[in-house]
Amino acid sequence: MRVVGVFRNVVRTLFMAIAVMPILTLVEAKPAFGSRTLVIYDQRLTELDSYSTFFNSLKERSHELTYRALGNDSTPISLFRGEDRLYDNLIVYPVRSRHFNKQLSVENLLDFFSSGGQVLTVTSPEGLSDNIRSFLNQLGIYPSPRNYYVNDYYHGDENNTLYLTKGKSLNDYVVSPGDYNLVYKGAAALLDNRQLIIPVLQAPKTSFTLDSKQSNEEWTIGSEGYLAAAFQSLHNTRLAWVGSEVFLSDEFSASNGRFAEELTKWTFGEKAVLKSVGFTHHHASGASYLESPYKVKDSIVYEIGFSEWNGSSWGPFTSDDVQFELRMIDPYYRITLLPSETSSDAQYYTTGNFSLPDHHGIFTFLVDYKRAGLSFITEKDVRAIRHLANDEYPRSWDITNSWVYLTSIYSVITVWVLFVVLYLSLRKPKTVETGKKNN
Amino acid sequence: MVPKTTPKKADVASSASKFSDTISASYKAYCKQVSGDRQLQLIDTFCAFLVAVGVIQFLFVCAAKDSFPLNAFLAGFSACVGQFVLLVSLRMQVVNSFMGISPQRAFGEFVLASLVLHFLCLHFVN
Repeated sequence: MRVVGVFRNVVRTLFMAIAVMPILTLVEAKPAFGSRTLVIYDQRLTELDSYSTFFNSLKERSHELTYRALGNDSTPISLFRGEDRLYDNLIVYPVRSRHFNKQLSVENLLDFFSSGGQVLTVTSPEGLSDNIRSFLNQLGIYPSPRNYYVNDYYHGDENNTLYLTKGKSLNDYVVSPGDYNLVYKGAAALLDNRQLIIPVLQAPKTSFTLDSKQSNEEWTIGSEGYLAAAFQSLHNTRLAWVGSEVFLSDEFSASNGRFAEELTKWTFGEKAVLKSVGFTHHHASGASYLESPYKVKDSIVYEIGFSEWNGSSWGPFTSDDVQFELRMIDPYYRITLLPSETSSDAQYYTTGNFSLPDHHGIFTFLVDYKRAGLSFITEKDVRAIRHLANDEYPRSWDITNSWVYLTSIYSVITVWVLFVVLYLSLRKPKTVETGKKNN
Repeated sequence: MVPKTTPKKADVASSASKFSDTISASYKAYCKQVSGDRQLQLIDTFCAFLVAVGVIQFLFVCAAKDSFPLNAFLAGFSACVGQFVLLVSLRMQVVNSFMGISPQRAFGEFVLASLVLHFLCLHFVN
């Protein structure tokens, strides 16, 4: 009995250890900003069971999923309580329900997005509601209308399913580089030429998007169409759009899984998230601005630290293209920063010593790091650079050139003194006067 | 009357000779004026010295191709020019004194003006 009991305990602890360990390791992975995630889907279009792999992957990354099914009811979907966001992330599946436009207005969506909520929109030719479409249009993403399918005679089959054997991500930060075997069935989008839009997956050259009912109208032709796109606002909130519902499904998770996971990781702020841990600038001697305000030609050092979210904690972010600008309307300096110290959670960069321009005024000490796919970082500090006070200019005898002029002035004075003395000594005899008169 | 065989050449020759005559005449007049007058000789020597110093400074600026301490150059150069002007005005009064101004008073004014000039130049050179 006892032996059996001990054996059972051992088995139980082993089992616990095996079961708990992956949970412990996986619990660390989480989004940088928040993990309350709302999933909105249309009951008539989407079977949640067929997306279990996708949702499990989200749960493993600490997402607290809330599901909201849309049916025939028209109760509004609230994303806010007062001015506080109820959710950090929003996943919208294709919706056909007409009530959805009233349940979640475009203004609501934009408010949610601009207040820091991350959005993943999945649309499909069967389900593209007007609110989602105009929300995407405002950001510059134009998905093809209802019933338009992207097709390709070279890479697809008669069911409008595309098999991309060498799908390449267009942005290495959003989806890491490599060849992906992807299966895609759905819409293609036209993209605006905006810098905030990040194209992720391009339609093949041989593809086209055609109305499945009236086959004479095209939405995209060839590589002008995109199958997945991302958007990052200036507040660093992120949005991703995928034009295919089955792209995320269990059926194709073997091929699409990694791509979808990377895309959602990027969207929900689990990677490529940067932050600045602060900047300092001071005299090369170490004195701060407050101790002695900057004046023209002073030698200054500027330092800044960058951190990157690696999925569970902040770590150093190393790059060789971080630039510092000293600006008064125009940049007077643009210096590429050099890595200096590294701590456990930040990489510090420095300009080294540089001398301020010979120009006084109100200058901005600026680091404006904007790279497509990475969080935008802008660090500004406005400081006055004063001119020299009247007793700070070099004296004339410190400048070798002026020795010539000094010598001449003093020689003129000396000779003048001699002249006065000689003139007075010559003045005495009256003979000069008479001699002159005789002339 | 000069015979008019080659009028042009004669004109040229006469004008050239007139010029040299004028030069020599004024030189003679100058020598005559200065000779025996030690004061005028002294004034003229000082003038020549000032011109030389001014020219040296100007040549230095040209040679250095840099007018960097411009205030110093201006001070040095204008010391020479100003002193020269003051000296010439003194000389005019020494040669032929102005109405109602005695040579002594003229010299006193010269000394005062020179002192002001030196003061200004020394301050301007910093």
